[in-house]
Amino acid sequence: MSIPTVTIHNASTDEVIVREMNDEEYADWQERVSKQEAEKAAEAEKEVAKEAAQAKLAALGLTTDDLKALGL
Amino acid sequence: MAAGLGFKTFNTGDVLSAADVNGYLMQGVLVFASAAARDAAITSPQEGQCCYLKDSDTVLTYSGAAWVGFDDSNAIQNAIVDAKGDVITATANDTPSRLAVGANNTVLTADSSTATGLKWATPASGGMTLLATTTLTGSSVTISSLSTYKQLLFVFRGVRVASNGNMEIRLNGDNGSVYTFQELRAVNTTVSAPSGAVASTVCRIGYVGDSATSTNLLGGTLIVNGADQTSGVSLTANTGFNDGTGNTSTIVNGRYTNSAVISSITIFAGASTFSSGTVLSYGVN
Repeated sequence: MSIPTVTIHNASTDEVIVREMNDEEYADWQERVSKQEAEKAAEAEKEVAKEAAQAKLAALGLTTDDLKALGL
Repeated sequence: MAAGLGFKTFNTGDVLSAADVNGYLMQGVLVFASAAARDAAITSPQEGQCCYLKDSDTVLTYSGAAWVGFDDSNAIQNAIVDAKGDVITATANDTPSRLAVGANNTVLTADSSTATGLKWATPASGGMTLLATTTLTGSSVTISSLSTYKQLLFVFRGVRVASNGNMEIRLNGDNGSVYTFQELRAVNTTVSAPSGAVASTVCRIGYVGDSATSTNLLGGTLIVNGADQTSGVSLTANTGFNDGTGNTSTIVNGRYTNSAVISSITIFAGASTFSSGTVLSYGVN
């Protein structure tokens, strides 16, 4: 896998540098990627759980509005 | 000196009278190498007489008392300006005057107390300055040299990433646990439960997608308040895009809890890379 690049733009001189990440930046990037992927997976799990709960409700003949009416 | 008679075409055989010579032929512009040469040749100049001096490329007329330059009300004389950036102003009616250029980044300001009614002055506070226009590329973009502004405003235009994810930022390259934020995200009219983090190493500023359709690209703003302070830096971000199936809007409020004036921002393309987009950086005082 190629090393991702970073762009550095000096607003004072308008100089733009595009270079590959150094080791520290790459390690940090990998950590953030792992974290975002974990968050995405957790969100997906939550969505699956929600859909399963809605299916169970539907099987009982209930809707989310019924739960709201009960104050749940 | 006789009054001029205008213009006349002389024909072959015409006899020139003294009146012809004085009224027609003596009315021209006399050419001399210099004022000294002129004065040597014309010891008794006549009122209304004209001359051209080759050394100064000037045309003068004799007023009856002295040789004076023409005052052409429709021309700007080259000699009125002396240097790059000079401005032609006026000190009074029909009185042009030169105003030298001011220091870099000063602006021309009205001031009735000065001779010309103008001065070069540092812009008053409250102005907004475009600091940089940066193309978003790679996995992150850092914009540096942002110091001394009370507020920083970043305007995102046409942003897309290779894979959907959260856009995040860091200030001053600070990767400590110094960011706290709360996020509210909605897809169309359905609002997700609020999310966020305390003592995070990045601050989220919005969710961005990978749809290449131009109308689906992310646009939004990020405001960094109190950027010139060593405490009390807060952030507000508003972004929106369409993933092709729904409009996603995100509002983020956050804080940078470290004690430092903000001199740079790093914008991360989430867990991905930027495919397109521009960020305009403004400083506000």
